[in-house]
Amino acid sequence: MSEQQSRPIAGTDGAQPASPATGACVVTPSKPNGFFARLERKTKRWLGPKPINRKLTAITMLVCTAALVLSGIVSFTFDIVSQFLATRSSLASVSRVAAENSREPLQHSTAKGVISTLNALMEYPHVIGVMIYHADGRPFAGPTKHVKAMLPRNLDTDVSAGTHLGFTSMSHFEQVMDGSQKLGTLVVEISLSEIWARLRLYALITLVVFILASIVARLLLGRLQGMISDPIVELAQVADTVAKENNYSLRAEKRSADEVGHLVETFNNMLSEIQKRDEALNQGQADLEANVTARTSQLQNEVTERRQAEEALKDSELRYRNLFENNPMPMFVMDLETLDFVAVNNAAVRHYGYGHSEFLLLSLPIITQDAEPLAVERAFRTSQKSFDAGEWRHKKRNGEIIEVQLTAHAIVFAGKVTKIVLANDVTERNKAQRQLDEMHKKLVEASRAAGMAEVATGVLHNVGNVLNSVNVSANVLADSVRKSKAASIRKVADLLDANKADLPAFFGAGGKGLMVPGYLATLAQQIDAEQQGRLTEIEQLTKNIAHIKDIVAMQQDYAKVTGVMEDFAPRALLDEALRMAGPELDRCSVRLELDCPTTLPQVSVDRHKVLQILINLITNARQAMEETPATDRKLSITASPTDDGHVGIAIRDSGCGIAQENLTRVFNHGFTTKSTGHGFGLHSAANAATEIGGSLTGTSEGSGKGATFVLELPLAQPAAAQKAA
Amino acid sequence: MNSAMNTDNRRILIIDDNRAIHEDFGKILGSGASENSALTALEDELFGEASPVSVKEYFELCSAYQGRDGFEMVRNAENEGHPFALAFVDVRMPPGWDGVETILHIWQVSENLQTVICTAYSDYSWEEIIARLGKSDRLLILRKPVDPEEVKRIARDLAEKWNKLQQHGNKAA
Repeated sequence: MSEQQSRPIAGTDGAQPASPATGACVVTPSKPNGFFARLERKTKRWLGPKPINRKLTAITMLVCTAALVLSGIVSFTFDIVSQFLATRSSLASVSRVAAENSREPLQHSTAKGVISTLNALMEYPHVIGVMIYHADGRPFAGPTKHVKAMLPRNLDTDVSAGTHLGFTSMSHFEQVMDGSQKLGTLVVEISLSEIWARLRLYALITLVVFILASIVARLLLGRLQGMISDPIVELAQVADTVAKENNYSLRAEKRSADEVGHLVETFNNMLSEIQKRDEALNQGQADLEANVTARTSQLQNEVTERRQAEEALKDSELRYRNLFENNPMPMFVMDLETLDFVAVNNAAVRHYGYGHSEFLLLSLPIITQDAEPLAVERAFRTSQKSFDAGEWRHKKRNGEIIEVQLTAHAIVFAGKVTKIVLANDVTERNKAQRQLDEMHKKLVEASRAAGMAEVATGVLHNVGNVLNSVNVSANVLADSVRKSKAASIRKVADLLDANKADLPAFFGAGGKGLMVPGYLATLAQQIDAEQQGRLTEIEQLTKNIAHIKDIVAMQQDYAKVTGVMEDFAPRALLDEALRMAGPELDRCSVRLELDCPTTLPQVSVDRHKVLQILINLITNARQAMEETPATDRKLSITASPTDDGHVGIAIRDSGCGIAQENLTRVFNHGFTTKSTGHGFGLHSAANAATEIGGSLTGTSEGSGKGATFVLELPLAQPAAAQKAA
Repeated sequence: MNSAMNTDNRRILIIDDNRAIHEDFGKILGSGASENSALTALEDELFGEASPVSVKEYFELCSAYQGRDGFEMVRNAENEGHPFALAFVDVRMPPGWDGVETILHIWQVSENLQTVICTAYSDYSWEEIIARLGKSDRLLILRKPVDPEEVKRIARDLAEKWNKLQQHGNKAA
């Protein structure tokens, strides 16, 4: 039986001495040291950790075994002992008889007489040896039959009579007495093997019965032990699950009304109680947690709100202080009574150059230029709360005059009625505006000039018309002078001179001289009229000449505009020029090839001049290709840096080309090969290129072979510096 | 010449957008300041000599400031039997028809009208104008600024040419 194998079990027996290392005082019950007590302890120790059904099995089996073994031992012992006793007593009586019979032969030392007795004795069951010895121990006679036992040759003389029990045999010594004289000794040896065999049989029977009983017991136990162990095992499982899962809603099933049932019931009640308490505990904990969470978030909110409020307050303070102190616009607070500065911000200090304290010693009228203090006062002493105080010229500390746009707002500052004034420096803006206006004008001009020199033609048309009037006026004047009656005065003088000898007669009655005063009066009238007419004509003439002067001056203005030099990417300039001149190219089916990397360095140029030149060149190229078959019209524009700090823009056409002798003349003023040309496009383009620090050159391989014009533009400073480096 | 006045057509149409030009033509072709006849009479009496009689040529000037107006006036004049002998036409007359276009229209309604095209600068080259108008013996180009004497001569000659053409035409008819 495997269960009975002993296993060492550590630490489960409370009776074992505690480890000294723990130092704890363990109360050990005093142990009875009897065998059964030890057995009981051992059994308990062995069974201790076993499951309850095994325990039941083991206990039952132990009890069965003990009962069987005890009953077997008792009955078999009784049987063997009684048989042994019976054998001995019969042996003793037989021996006595045989000893009686052998007295005589011994007396006569005639062995013959006892041999048959001895042989008869051998016939007794279990007798395995018989021998008669003399009193001195010498053998007297033995049976003739086969003797199984080896009896000693000589018998010890001091051996007592009676039965001597050996392991496998039993010897009986019977003294042959004659009166009180010992004649000899009869020894009968009986085999015990039958008893041993019976003993073995009994043991076998006991074993078989025990095995059968065990099997039956196991079968019965298997069926019946569940009655006791199952509810307990189940209870244990439930308890285990409860312990593992903390699930107090589990219940063990009550199967019987015995102690186990009661235990289950109690256990369940206990679980209910625990569950109730657990729930209450959980509820309490949940409530507590909810409270804590709520309070925490409330606290957090409060903290956040407070922090936000603080930050907002700080922020707002800072913002307002910053708004004034660090405002990028110069600002100052001004006493409305004295116009003194009460406060100025950093930007104002920075911008005007006056130190902070220096500033506060000044007043607005002091720094205002080109305006009476009264005018300044008037501008600010207004009932308006917030107003635009207009543009003023202010003097900076370094003497520089700036144009500022002032905006004011009435505030109470340090208990005084003040104005906070924001000064917006519009110097650059105004300058830029003026430049912009100028540039706009120039752009208009450039785009016009870019067309077909339309403006120039218009100007010349106007000049032509005015010249017409001038010419006519001059003619009229010449005519008037030629035909002037002023010559008639000479005639009168001559007449008077002819008659000077007799002037009284000449002016006398009937004299011709009487007509002179009337004539002179009429003549004077005529001359006055003439004079008036000439004056009118001269006035007109003057007006017309002035008109021509205006037109010419305007033309000169247009021609002379010196623009702002700015940095541009060559590509941007070309793109812009092509935007203006491109549509015409498309219309004329000119194929355009543009090779201008956007990576080219910037050039520093007057944009309008460059545009004018580019458009002029593109237009020229287009016009040069008017006679070229549409399929061959190709305009290629290539931009690349030159060695001497320029970017060269080459405009190559496949047009009519330029005859060798004309190559230098194309840039001359008034030279044109175009039927509609004026001859100053390339001339002014070349001039413009020189003005902006570049150059314009033209090459052609001859008539009909196209032409290339190269416009070189100076690099912008950083790019030029980089190149130089 | 005076005898021919009745049959002599001296109506001239000036088509130009510039009013100053009209005034100029007025000064050149107009009557100018009238002679003081009283003074002449006095002079005759006082100096006992006849002052040379200046023959003032007479032209009837009409003005149009746009090509289309000029064309209308030519057509109306033809229809009413007071045709113009001569027209001075400016090339540039924004915003309407330019001189060339105006002349093309005028020629369609008038058979003999002589035309002088005036140009301040080379808006059109002679070749271009010819190319657009075709070769014609009744077209003259006058460059501005004009020489008043030249204008007078042109006006006189072309008016005469018109009259001769008219007479020939009448005779032929």
